[in-house]
Amino acid sequence: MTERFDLVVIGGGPGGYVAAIRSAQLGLRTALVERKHLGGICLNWGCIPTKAMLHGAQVAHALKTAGHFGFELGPVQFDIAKLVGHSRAVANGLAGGVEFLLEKNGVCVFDGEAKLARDGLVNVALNSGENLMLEAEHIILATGARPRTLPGLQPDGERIWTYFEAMVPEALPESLLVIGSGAIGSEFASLYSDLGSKVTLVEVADRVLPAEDVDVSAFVEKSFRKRGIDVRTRVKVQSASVGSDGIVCDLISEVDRVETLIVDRVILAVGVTANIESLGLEELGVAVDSGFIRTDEWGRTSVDGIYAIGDVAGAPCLAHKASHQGVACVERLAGVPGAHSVVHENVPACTYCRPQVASLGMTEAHARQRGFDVRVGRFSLKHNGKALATGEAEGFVKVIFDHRSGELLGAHMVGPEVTEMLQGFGVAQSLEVTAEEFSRTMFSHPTVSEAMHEAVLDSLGRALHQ
Amino acid sequence: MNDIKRLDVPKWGLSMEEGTVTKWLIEVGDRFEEGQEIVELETSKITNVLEAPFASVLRRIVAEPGVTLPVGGLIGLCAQPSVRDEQVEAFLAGLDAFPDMPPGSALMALDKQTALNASSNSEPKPSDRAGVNVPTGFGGWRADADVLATAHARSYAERFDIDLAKVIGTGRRGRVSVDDVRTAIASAGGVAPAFGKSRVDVSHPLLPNASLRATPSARKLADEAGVSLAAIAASSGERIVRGDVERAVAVRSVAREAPEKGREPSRIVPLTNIRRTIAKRLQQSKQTAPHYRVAMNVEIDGLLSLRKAINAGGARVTVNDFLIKASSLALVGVPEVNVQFDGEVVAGFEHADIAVAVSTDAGLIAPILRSVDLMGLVDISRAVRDLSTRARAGRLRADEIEGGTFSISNLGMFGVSHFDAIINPPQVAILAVGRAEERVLPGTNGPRTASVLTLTLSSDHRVIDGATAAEFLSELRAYLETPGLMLS
Repeated sequence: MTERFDLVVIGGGPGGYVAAIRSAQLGLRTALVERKHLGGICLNWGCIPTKAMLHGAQVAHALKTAGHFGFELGPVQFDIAKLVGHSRAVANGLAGGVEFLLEKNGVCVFDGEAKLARDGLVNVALNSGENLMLEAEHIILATGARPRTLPGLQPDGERIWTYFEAMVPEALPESLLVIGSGAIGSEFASLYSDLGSKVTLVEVADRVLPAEDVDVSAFVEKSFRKRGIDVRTRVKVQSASVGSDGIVCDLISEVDRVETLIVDRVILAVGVTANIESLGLEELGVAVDSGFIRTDEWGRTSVDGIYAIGDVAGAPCLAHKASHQGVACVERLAGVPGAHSVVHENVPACTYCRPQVASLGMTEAHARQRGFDVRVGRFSLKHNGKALATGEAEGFVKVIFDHRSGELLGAHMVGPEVTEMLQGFGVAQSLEVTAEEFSRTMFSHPTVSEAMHEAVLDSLGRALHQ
Repeated sequence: MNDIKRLDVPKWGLSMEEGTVTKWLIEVGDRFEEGQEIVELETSKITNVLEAPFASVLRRIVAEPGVTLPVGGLIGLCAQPSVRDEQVEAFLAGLDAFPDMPPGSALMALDKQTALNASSNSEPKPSDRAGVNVPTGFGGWRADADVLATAHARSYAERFDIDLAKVIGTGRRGRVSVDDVRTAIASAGGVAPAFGKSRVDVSHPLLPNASLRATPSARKLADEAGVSLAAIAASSGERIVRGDVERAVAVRSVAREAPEKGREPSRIVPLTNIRRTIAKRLQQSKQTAPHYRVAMNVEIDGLLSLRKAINAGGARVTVNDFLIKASSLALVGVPEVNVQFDGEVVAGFEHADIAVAVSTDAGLIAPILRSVDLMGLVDISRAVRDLSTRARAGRLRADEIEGGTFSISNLGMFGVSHFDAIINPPQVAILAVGRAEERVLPGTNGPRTASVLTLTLSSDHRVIDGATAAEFLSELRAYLETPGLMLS
């Protein structure tokens, strides 16, 4: 039996399900194949459940600093199972929501594993055991990515964790080694440190959060150290083996000095690898570049009628990028006037460690390297009234403008809830606002966001409060 | 002979239900003889001319061209010159007062006195149909009125003969909605039923609910369900309560679903505009273009292996794409087929613009690929996929569905072996493609198998003769059976 569709989407994560909904809205007969969880990693094992866990960390931090505001607390009991329970409940609820949205928009959802065949055919091995053939004019691959592993460092699901296990701990580890200080590694390091674990964070690059602006990395590293996180940069973990009193980890620094560390648990957070296996890509000749499917700005692969969006199409591996790529790809197919593709440089990125990190556009180094005549503005939260009042004056805002055009090239922020504030810069950037226009915008007082205004003023040499 | 006689929509066939006046062949005041052709009427199947069933003088045209009426509907009034105009008008007014009176016979005569009596006995009601009361100021549907209104408001106003220009719209940019119409009628003291729902109740009159005693909740429910309160008995006390209405609605729906009434259509779907256009064009084509068909079998094994080789490089060329390409080359090779015909002139073209039939939820649509003979196979496959996807999303531009010199309709994917297609004017030919089938054929070294496709060309005999059609198909077969020729 072959069912015909205008579009078949493979993968029900934030890229795939959004593409499917948009496609159905545009009147295309749309099917979505998902092998496990609607909502994908983001909703089930990533963005959302980590935020639920991190809120627990925030509560722990608030309890620790309660004395400053006059609250003397007795001994505090913490049951990590309850926090994990909250996190899972939120994820499950949202997954149900995705199913509802797909159904409401008339998307046919198939639970099973898809494999591409020739001529627009998709073979679906349904989870129920049956086989189904779908025929599609267009196929979008949105199969996402999974944690990358390193030689000598195989996750065992018990003590050497990936984000899957780190999301559902049965007990709080006494000591923890986090390998990799990207967004995932930094969030887990921050989370477990706030909950009470002794955390070591290892990074092979010369700074934590290596994708961020150097000022951001330096600030977060200092803050982490102050909190008692043992941060080691330019350090590799050569091996991790399970011993009698913990996991024995051999760390090598650049100068070949070897140090042995014994910890309770290890979290492997060294990036992700695309889910491209068993899709039938090779047989069809879909080109792959260093493990990710090669696409153009509209998601077109090297094979006609096959598209790829989200993590499987390469970095940055972020949910909102995947969703936007999905919409762009579908709108172009349907001929929607004004469809716009995703500009990788403008993809915002947020890391929810403490202090939070939010950024978009180019780093200062990148902008200089590209030859822009840059004007940089900075503002420290130490001069921001609202941040001081709430006792969270740790952080800063940094903006990078192109002097010639006045265009916002990049914005980098560290501090409380900066992940919520970033959208202000996002709107400004997408509307091509210049520093002058931004400086004329009135920011309400007192808000942490005023620091954004001041940073822009600083780039014009006109900061008022520093 | 002072009789005023009716001219009605005749019943020309068993299935004829209504007719549309397309053209009056005589004018008001003209005398005509029995058997003379006086008016053209169009039915869902044919356009025909009504021959006068009697001799008289046309005094009044009731149905102007474009008006559709059921069989038996009044289209004109006739009377000898001795009958005064006022008498004709009074006759007409009398008919208006009893809208349900006329049908039954194709021709019906009333004497002047009956008509006048009827007219004087009826109270002057500008519009009074089935419990609807449109106040005088709002009467008079005008199809051409330049009023921004929703489609529902338009059909509602037309049905109840309401002038939309008199209604104040509250929608975006002053657009008039059904609610606006009902509010306007109600505020002027009239009665207008809920939209849509009342359709089912035309069998029993919808009386002004306002004059009956009912609880506000019952009134609202009745209004929403399109139930007349007059048809509901109050179960307790004097007032109709919510439960009474709910019971009436339940009884009605059971009655409607009862199998005894199975003769009623289970659903009524008005034609969409696109469907209406398709219907009109195909009808016109089938009626005016003398279709004939020429079929040919084509072996496509060579084509299938070439396709496989091309697609190994990441393309997704379909058999249909090959057909489009081959047709374009055959059209250029046999330019007599690469033409448009408007009934007067034959226009020839240098390049082949081919319409590809795409079925969408809204109906068949045939977007056009321009100068296909200049395109490569891979570009054709991309363009076809693009056009068909945008067709299904309803995003084709007007210039993408206009013109063309040839059409291809492929039902192979539905397992159809071969079929005939109707020409899409102003084109003069269309190719109908069935499914490729494995067949056993006689060969020099015994029987052999081959993938065979049946192509059926429908041509307009006014422009293309059989020999030309055969020549075109032979040329097409040559390209399909030696597909390398397409790449040269």
